[in-house]
Amino acid sequence: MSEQIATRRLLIGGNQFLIGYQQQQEWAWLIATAFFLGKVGGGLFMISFFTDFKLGALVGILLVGVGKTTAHLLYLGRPERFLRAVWRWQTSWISRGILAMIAFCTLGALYVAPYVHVFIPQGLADACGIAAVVFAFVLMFYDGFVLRASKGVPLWDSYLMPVLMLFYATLGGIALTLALEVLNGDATRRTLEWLGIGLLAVNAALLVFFLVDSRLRHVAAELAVTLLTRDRLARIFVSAVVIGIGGTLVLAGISIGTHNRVVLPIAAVCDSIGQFFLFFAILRAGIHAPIRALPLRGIRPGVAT
Amino acid sequence: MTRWGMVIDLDRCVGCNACTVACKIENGTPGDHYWARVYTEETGTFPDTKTTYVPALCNHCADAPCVTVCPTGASYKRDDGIVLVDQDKCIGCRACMLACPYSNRFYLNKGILETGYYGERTAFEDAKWAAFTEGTVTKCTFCAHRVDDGLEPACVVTCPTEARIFGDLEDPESKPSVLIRDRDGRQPLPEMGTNPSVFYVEGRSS
Repeated sequence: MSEQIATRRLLIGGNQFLIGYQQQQEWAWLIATAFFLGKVGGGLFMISFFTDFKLGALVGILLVGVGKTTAHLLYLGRPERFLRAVWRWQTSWISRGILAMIAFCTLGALYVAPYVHVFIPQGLADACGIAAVVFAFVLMFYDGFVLRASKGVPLWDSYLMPVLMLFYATLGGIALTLALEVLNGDATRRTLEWLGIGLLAVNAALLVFFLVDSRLRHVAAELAVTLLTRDRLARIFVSAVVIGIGGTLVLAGISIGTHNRVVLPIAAVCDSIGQFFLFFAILRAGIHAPIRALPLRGIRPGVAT
Repeated sequence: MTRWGMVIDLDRCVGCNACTVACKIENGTPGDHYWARVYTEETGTFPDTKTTYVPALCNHCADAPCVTVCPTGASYKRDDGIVLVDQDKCIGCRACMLACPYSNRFYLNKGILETGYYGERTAFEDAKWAAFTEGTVTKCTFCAHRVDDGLEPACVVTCPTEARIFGDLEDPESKPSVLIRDRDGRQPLPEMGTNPSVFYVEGRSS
């Protein structure tokens, strides 16, 4: 086993002049942050809209409008040209995402305007809220398509990526809604708690399915799964799963079993930490395949590169 | 319609990296950015080992994923198949770098153009680097400026073994088309569905 891992480590030794698998170095903390805030912000807004919880909707808008936007601007090489990114919506999921962000923040702000004592007709606010939910929904999964379009990174080029993003965003939205309701002194909905537990199970199953599917789909993706589960990213990935799924599940179970709602904000923190590091690890595990296929099995350490 | 392309003969490449240097001089790429380069591939188990030199450059794909993902239109394809980046439109999101299955795109980090390769900027660097913008992505242009003047790319004319052969892939009698046909030219990573305009030939024709 250790020899196998050593072999794979050596294989990820490609550079500009040496054929080999190369770990992507471009997208890391800031993009992971932007994706995370977009997902949970959109999810929080959507769940808050359907539960008529205006504070949650407001926080969702802020997470996207301030948090996600700032992370994107900090990452871009030429942030002053940010708005140019809307031009290629016909082909680019980044363009579609930026357009969804702008529409979501504008319409969402109009929806919560009466809540923060800015007068607009209630009918208009409600209509904007419905439209904002549509764009929140796009924000919840579009980054899955952004990753899916990265043909150079086989791990991400998976049809499961948008599904994973959507389900994790929904779970994040539920967890934050429940947490904010507790912190705000409101009554929480038992249905939401059960829905959250159900989603935790679904997300865990989806994650396993994603890893298994990736192993079978492409050698570079198989290598990436090894990085995530048994190699240099395993500590982050496994911790994210344990805290994000295990920790949240235990705390949600305590809340339901003991009617102790105080644990719900802690569960939301666990879920958020887990989600962030889970997708951060998946980003960091992005591996480019070499331009000529290298065999993954049957190579002894020290020979492959 | 012309579709510029290249055939690389792996049997001829001796790994001298003359193409790498010629490209760097022609285009004046900053830092350790090498648009044309030669990969070393070592295979086998001692004592049965083999080294193959694999020249590489942007493949100017017919179905270029870098163009599709670009949110600003900075990455675009000309009618003759050459894929370019408009430095004035690029926002530096680097999505194209992750979309390119061949790692043939390069990001100009902030500050990379402030100092020269050996410290103080030379007159050569001043002249060449005027074409670059920090915080954007660059790539091989197939020496579009030379091609437009009826010349071949710098890496092609420099290669001492004529391992790089440039021409119109749409013309069935062009040198690359004949080589692809006669020697079973293969595109890199065809499973990616990008339809590269660079082909590799290896092994003598039967």
